Amino acid sequence: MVYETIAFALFALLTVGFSLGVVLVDDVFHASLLLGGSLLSVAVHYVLLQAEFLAAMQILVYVGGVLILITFAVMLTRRETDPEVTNV
Amino acid sequence: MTDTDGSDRAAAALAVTALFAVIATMAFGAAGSFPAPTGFPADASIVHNIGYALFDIGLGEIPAEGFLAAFLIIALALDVALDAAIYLAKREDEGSIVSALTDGGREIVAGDVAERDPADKGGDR
Amino acid sequence: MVPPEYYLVLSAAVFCIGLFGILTRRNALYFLMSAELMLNAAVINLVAFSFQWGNLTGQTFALFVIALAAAEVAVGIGIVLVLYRNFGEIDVLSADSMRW
Repeated sequence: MVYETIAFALFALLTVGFSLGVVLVDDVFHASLLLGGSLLSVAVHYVLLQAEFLAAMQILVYVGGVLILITFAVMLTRRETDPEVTNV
Repeated sequence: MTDTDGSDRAAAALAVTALFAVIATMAFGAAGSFPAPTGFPADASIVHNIGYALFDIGLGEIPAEGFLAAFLIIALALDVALDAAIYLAKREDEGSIVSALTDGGREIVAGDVAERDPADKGGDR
Repeated sequence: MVPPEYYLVLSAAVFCIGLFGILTRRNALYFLMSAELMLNAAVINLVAFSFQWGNLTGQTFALFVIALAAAEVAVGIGIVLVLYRNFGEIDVLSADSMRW
């Protein structure tokens, strides 16, 4: 019981921290990486809730599909000539 | 760089914090009203039960037929999304469905990017 | 196990963070990522109460939501790329020709 609560608190902190990073970080590529961390910690919550299949689906679909798509869009819409982007 | 100015951002943060406070108060107000979690049988595997339901073998102890309809509908939704993405990415000479997204509805010419002055907007942030 | 109201609070926190992102950003990519966060918050609730009642329906719906999020991102990426091609930026306020 107490170990489960500790694990929940740890990964809840991770989830909230990564999510805050997504909306507060200014570089959009860093934001997408933080979104990946947030999705992975949510998958850990699913494992804690005995939903291992959903955890696998979360990692496959979100981290393997959605995150790759978003990273593609970040790369394709980044302008090389924009000084404030290339300086990051 | 922030996209909205400071006062708007502070107002948004305040509103969101108030919403979180309301939801958290409601959640902790319901504390103790839930019975102990039922959970699933410790030796039951959901993946096994989905496999049994897929081949119509009546072995699983968790009813998993509902997942099969979910799989079919998910397959359809992903197909539609793929087609829509390809349709959006396609460029046609006589103007495509995305012509309305251009500046004032003018025609898209091949190789043309809007001539809008990039200094008057906030870049790509 | 962890009582379900903790999961309610966690889900509310993630949802509010996503809402904050949508309210304060003008970049379309941040919109997509914040929408993902809000969908994830809803799915946490579904899975938590599926476990609470020992019922698989919540997990079925969670699977639906995950697949719909993937489809939404596929179409959203297409729209973002069209915005970038036509305007040279992905500000959500720039596509205003259908705005009243």
